[in-house]
Formats: sequence, structure tokens, C-alpha cells
Amino acid sequence: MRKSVWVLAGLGFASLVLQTSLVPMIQVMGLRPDLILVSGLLTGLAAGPGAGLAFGSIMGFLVDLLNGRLLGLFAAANGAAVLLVALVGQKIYKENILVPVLAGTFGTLIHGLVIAILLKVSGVAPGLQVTVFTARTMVLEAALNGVLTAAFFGAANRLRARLQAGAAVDDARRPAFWS
Amino acid sequence: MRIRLLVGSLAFFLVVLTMRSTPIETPRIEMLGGVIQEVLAPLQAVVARSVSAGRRAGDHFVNLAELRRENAALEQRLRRLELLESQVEELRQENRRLKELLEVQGTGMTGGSPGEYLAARVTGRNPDAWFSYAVINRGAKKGVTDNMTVITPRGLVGRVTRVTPHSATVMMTTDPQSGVGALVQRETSRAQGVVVGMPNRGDELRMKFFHRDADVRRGDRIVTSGSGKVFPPGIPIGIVTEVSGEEGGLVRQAQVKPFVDLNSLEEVLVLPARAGDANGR
Repeated sequence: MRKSVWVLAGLGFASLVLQTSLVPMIQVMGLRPDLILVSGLLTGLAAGPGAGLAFGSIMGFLVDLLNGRLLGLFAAANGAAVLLVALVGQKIYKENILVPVLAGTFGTLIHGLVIAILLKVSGVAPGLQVTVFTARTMVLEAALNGVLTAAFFGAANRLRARLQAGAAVDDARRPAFWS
Repeated sequence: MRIRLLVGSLAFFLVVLTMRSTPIETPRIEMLGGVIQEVLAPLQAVVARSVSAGRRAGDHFVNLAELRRENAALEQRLRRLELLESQVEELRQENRRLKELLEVQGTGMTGGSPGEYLAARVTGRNPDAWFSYAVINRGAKKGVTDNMTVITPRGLVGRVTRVTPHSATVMMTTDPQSGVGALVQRETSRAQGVVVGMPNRGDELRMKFFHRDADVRRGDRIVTSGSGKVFPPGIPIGIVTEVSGEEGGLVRQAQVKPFVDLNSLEEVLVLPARAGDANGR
């Protein structure tokens, strides 16, 4: 199997473990970053919409299995957020620091919006009301994720470059996984 | 590239369609979730313990830095002492919490007899802000079953919703799918209702009253009523912080702040399932 797939699997596993153990313990005023979503957004920005969509949806699906509620809820929300951000990200100059900040922020807002809609439509959370409190929480968490996305954006690009170089040397005939 | 994107998009819409047509209670899906939880549980436990110990040790290191400035000659010795103190403090706090768990058995809050309760450590939490659950390090091998009530000495935490051999998932009262039969403890009221969680609202509960003229006031204590047949009666849930809806109006609701700080749970107590209520909600 290609090295990049193993790297993504490791990244996904690590973010899942940290998100379910470390992050809830260090949250401030109920706000917590979403490492799983951030890793998906970074994958989408660095590797393109295809890889981002696959990674985001699979990670979301694992969260769905862990949650044991509405199967596909987080798969759909992660997939939609990563796909949209990656599609827009392809068309703009990514070296600007604002790009990952905005990608993380808007990606999180799209993610929250999709979840809110699906929860409402599915009847899983009939009491769901998008109040000022909910909106404030979502916006602050989106900003937090934006900062995190920017902080790791450079590392994600360097990793992509190294994997691309390694793949070219190891197997020049096969098409690169990263596009 | 376009083909990959097309395949990805198709997969995405398939997932959405699957979501609408597949009940999560399907045994195979439940089993898959259990397997993932079993794999994650030991790693979560390691991280949880490390963070807990690191947090307390960190506080002591801050103090140590202050002392270092005041007396450089004692720096090395103080560092050793502080580390030792940190460990002692950790043990002392753990001891206090475990004692509280033991004491709660004698308070009558739990309704069972001593020896039936199981102390457990919280090792993991929900990865998102929309649901609210905790993973504990006791599972089927220790006798944990679905719908067992989980408490701390301060009050209700929730109920067990998924059990694997070595861990269990506890749906907390703040979860949007949680519903707890409750009543106002005040003798002159005893108004009954259901306490439900709020999605993405963090540490907040809402009590919906059965009667529109329910007598409820700010500061009232809310306890379990036992009417839902899952939770024993009399377990403290929280305190009323706000009442909405006029008395006699269409809907009477109250916001309730839980007694238990669900964000910083470390140890909990699992109570036996109530007789004849193995699968009730």
C-alpha cells in the first residue's frame, strides 16, 4: 500500500484518539477544537478534493459508529465541509496565511450547518434550536479551528511534498496519490 | 482527477442515502462501533491519565518557578519535593474522590445495597459538541449492562447505552437524546416533568413540565422521579436557573444547571439496573 495512505491512516487514528480523550479535558468554556475535521480540511487543502473527501467521509463515518446515533451524520458533514473547502482552495493562492484560517473557519461552519440540518430533518434531536448561544459556540469554535488549520497548514504541505518526492523515486510509473 | 472527484461525490451521496435508510441499532453496525471503542479505550485511558497527572504537576511547577527566583540554592531540592508533593496530591485527591464514592452508598441516594455498585474511571469522551457521552473503563466483564444508572457523589451523570467487554458508553443527561423523569424536590411543589439535554448547548439541561401550571421557581432542586423506570428516584440532577413560560401558559419549561460538572468527570459510580427494566428508556 502507498506510504501516503498509511500516513493518512495514522493521522486519522491519532486525531480520533486525541479528540476523544485529550481535547475534552482541555476545553475552555465549553469550546473545543475539532481535530478530526481540521485534519480532514488540511488533507483537502494539501491533497485535493478527492483525497480530502475520502479521508473526511471515512473519519466522519468512524465518528458515527462511535456515537452510535445517526449513521452517516458526521460522514456527510465532514465530507461536505472538506469537499467545498478543497474545491474553493484549489482555485486560490494558498500561500496566503488567510487561506487556511478562512478554510478552517468556513469549513467548521459548513460542518455545523449540515449537522444542524440533518439532526433537525432526521428527528434525532427534535429539541434542536439554533439560538444565539448555539450560533456563538459554532462561530467561536470555527475561529478556533481556523487558527489550528493555519498552524498545521505548513506542516501538511511539507508532508505532501516529501511524500510526493518519495513516491516519485519509489514508483515513477504509478500516478501520484496526491493530486 | 475528475473521475476521482466524481467517485468521491457519489460515495458521499451514497452515505447520505444510507443514513436515511439504515437504523443504527443494526447489530452489525453496533458491533462495529463497539470494536472501534474497544480499540480506542486503552489509548484514551493512557491519554486521560497523563493529562490528569500533567495538569496537576503543571500547577506545582508554576509554584516551583516562583520559589526558584526567591531561593536559588534550594532549587534542586525543591524540585524533587514538588514532584513528590505532586504525586502525593494526586493520590490524596484520588483518595478523597474514592471515599466520596464509597460514602454515597450509605446516603440512600442510590437505593441499592452496598457492594452492588461499581466504581469506574472515565477514559474517553464524545469527539463532537453535538452529543454528550463518556466512555468508562468497566464493561460487560465487570457486570455492566445497558441502562445502568451512572452517578457521582454530586448527582446524576446518565445511563449506560453501549457495553463492550472492557468499556461502556454512558449517555449523559446533557445529550440531546437523553430524557430523565424528574420532579421538583420542594415539598410544596413536587411538579413532575422530563429533563432533556440540549444539542450543542454544553452544560445545560431543560426540564419540560407535564402540567402547564407547574409550580417551579428559580433555585428549586430537581431530582429523578423514578417514573421512567430506568433511574432510581431521588438522585439529584441540578438546580433551576431560569423559568420560561407563564404559569398556566401553553408550555412550562425550566433551565437546569446540573450538579455534576460533566466536563471534568474522572471517577463515577455505576448502579445496578432496576429490576425488570433491562431495556426500557
